[in-house]
Amino acid sequence: MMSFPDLTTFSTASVLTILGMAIVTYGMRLGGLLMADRLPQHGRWAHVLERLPGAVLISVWIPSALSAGSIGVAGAAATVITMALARNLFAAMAVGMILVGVGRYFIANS
Amino acid sequence: MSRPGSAPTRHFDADTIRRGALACLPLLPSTMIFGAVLGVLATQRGLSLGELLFMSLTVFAGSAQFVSVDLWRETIPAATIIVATAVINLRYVLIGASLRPVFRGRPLWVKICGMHMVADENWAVTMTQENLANPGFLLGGGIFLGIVWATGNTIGYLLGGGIPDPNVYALDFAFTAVFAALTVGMWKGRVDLLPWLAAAIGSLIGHYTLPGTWSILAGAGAGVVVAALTWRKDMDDTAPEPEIAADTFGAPEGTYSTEAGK
Repeated sequence: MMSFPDLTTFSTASVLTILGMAIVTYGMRLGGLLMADRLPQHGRWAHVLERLPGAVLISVWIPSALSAGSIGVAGAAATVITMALARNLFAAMAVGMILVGVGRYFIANS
Repeated sequence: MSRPGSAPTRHFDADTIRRGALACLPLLPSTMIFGAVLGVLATQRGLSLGELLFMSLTVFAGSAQFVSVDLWRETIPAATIIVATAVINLRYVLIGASLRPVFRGRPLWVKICGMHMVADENWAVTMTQENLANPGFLLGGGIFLGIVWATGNTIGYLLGGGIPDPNVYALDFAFTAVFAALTVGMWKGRVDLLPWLAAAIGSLIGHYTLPGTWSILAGAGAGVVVAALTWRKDMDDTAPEPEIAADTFGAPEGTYSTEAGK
């Protein structure tokens, strides 16, 4: 292990590894956009692309709500309902997070 | 201005960047704390603060960075780390593809500059905007999250511990909550029902049967397949192709009040 605090050491191996990670990640970000640019602007593919953000978003949070247990599922449901009614991101997040925070407190102390 | 239909003069104007940054404000506490947790982890794995910040600003992807820093050793397993990063970040191909309307009609250099600071969070916030064609809005959120993320890294690294457990304050749930809430804003009508249902089921099956973040790809893949299968000719967009909307009229903000507390 290096000495602490180690603020400014840049080893060649670290820099190359990080650059590799960065190139791979940026390549996928830009590559996805440039590929989509080559798809038709109308018809089936345009319809699929329009459904894509919702499908990705749902696939990100449904498994993570489930991993947080039943309180996580309840929190996600409360967030969605608040957002549908109030159309306010901040309020929706607050309701979900408070529910999960309070729920965990009671589960831990019961 | 010039003839209708010609390109606007500015691709990233300061006001749009500022609005994009403000829209990501609700994510400040959780991004900061998780940045700090990563900073603490980095001290234990032998990265210097400079290396960590270099990673945070060039890779700029939270979950991949957590896995990579965790794998970090004195002899760096570079190949393992880069492959793991690629697998975890595969979803960015889909996220990049879905950003087509944001960059529609923009020159290549705008796409090259605008696609770096794309995290899940500012992407999701951008995709729920009324007026999508704003690369500056996306960039503003990215710059904001990047600064908060790097600040969190630095605090965690210098403290080397003593960071409050994010789970106690449900800060880990902030990411689930923001994505769940923004999904509501993406609803475009009944055409979304079946693809979304497929995505939910696909991601659940993936969650139980596949390792790591493959569930995202399973869900998105299921959604894409169902969207392709349920398409009919009469569904074709009746709305005219939006030209690049000049963002000088302040955009219809507040419709979905993604801006904190407004």
